[in-house]
Amino acid sequence: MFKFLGYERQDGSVGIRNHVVVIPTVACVNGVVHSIASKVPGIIPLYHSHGCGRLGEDLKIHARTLVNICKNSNVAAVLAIGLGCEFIKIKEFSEAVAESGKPVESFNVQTDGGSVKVVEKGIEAAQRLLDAASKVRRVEAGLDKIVLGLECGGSDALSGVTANPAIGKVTDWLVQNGGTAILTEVTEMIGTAHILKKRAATPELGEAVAEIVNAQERKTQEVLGEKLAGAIISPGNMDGGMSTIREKSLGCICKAGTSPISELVSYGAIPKGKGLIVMDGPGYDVDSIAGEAASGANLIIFSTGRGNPLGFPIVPIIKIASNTKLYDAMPDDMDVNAGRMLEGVTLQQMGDEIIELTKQVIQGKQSKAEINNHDSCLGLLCTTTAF
Amino acid sequence: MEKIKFVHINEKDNSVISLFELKEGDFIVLPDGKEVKIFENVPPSHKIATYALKAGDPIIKYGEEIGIAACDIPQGGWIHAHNISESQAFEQSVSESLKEGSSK
Repeated sequence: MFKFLGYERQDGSVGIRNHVVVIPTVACVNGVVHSIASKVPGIIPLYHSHGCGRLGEDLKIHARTLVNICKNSNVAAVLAIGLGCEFIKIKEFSEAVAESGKPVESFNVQTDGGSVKVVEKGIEAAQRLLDAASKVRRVEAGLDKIVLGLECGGSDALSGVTANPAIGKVTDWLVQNGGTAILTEVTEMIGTAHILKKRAATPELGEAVAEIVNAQERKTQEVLGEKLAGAIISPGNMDGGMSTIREKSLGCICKAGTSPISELVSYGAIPKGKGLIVMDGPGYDVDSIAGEAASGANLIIFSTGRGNPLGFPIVPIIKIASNTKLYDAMPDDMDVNAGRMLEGVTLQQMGDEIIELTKQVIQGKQSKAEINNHDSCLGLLCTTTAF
Repeated sequence: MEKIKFVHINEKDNSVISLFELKEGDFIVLPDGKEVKIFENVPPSHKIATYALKAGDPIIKYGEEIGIAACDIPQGGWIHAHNISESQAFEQSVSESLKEGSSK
């Protein structure tokens, strides 16, 4: 049975990394966060462009996602920087994160002496938090502590033939051994509602999963018009051998392997159980991986056919190239070349190879995206425009 | 080693995916040992019927139905937008949209 030496968190989760983060509760203080992070090696800034200017559903989504990213098992301690007049209040934010039992310190620029003073105080706090993180206990843990986010971005005709089916083998291995995997990118499930429905653990869950897929289809039609909605399968997809939207979507959802769907969660919400989880999130990679990290993903596997260097500040991302041309064109960004399946490597062998690398990354080996540190800011799902 | 010509994703599939352009008259050997003669030229990463399909038969890939055969498709035949009912309806709607757009 596979075991790894992880980082024990008070809420019962176990991290595969031990990061200290500094996060703004509103984008107005990103610069303050930058000043702190640039002076304290080892602290990770979590920049984003939200925290205010939005009400209703988007405020709920953003508050939940930012809090839950800080609760992610790869995060050891949190320094929160607020402004003072934003919707996401620093006190409530810090209390919500502290519920997980991890150390949290916070400052408000308007009431703690202005930005320069808050940088000074923040640097001192960051040192204290790094010290606390270095004392976190290492514990032996199993795959039940792993939450794997599934992602595909910059797909090509081979993504659904080589990389994604191989990733499906990893998902099956993980779920069969008590772990959790998150399937999202609902835009890329269009046309498969009836198939996902059959794969749900209960009829009620099946209905709910089918409904989010159908809702996404309706939304796509609202935005693009009924006829152009079909263009989500593009002429390029067609030339590449995709004949129907359902075929394209099946190539995406095969990352989830063959396990039954055990739970459906909203974007950035933390699942109650384990197994294969569906998260109601968008197809856009930057927003999608932030949602997965908030839902607890402590590891992400990302397939790509065109190539994408995207990392995530607190979660290792393993990149699987669907073809050899891409692997050779971006060797410093790709971890695995699934294009070798076109040269005689079988699906099972490729799955086993990715499982082997996954084990190593869980045990601490850095993925290419981690080594490069080419992370984006946090992209958060928005359903309306800002006020 | 002989070059791999195709991928058969799921054992239930009645289609396989070409990995490079296959020519009429080429042969592929399925995992169960059955030999299939390629009926017509098939572009890379496109689908090939593993047995003869009747109009109305489901086309299976990933173990699931991806569409319905719009006409009879011979064993070793190329399966794509030209012989899948859903794709034909879709292409027709795109072409109508384009006509509408350009006439305004």
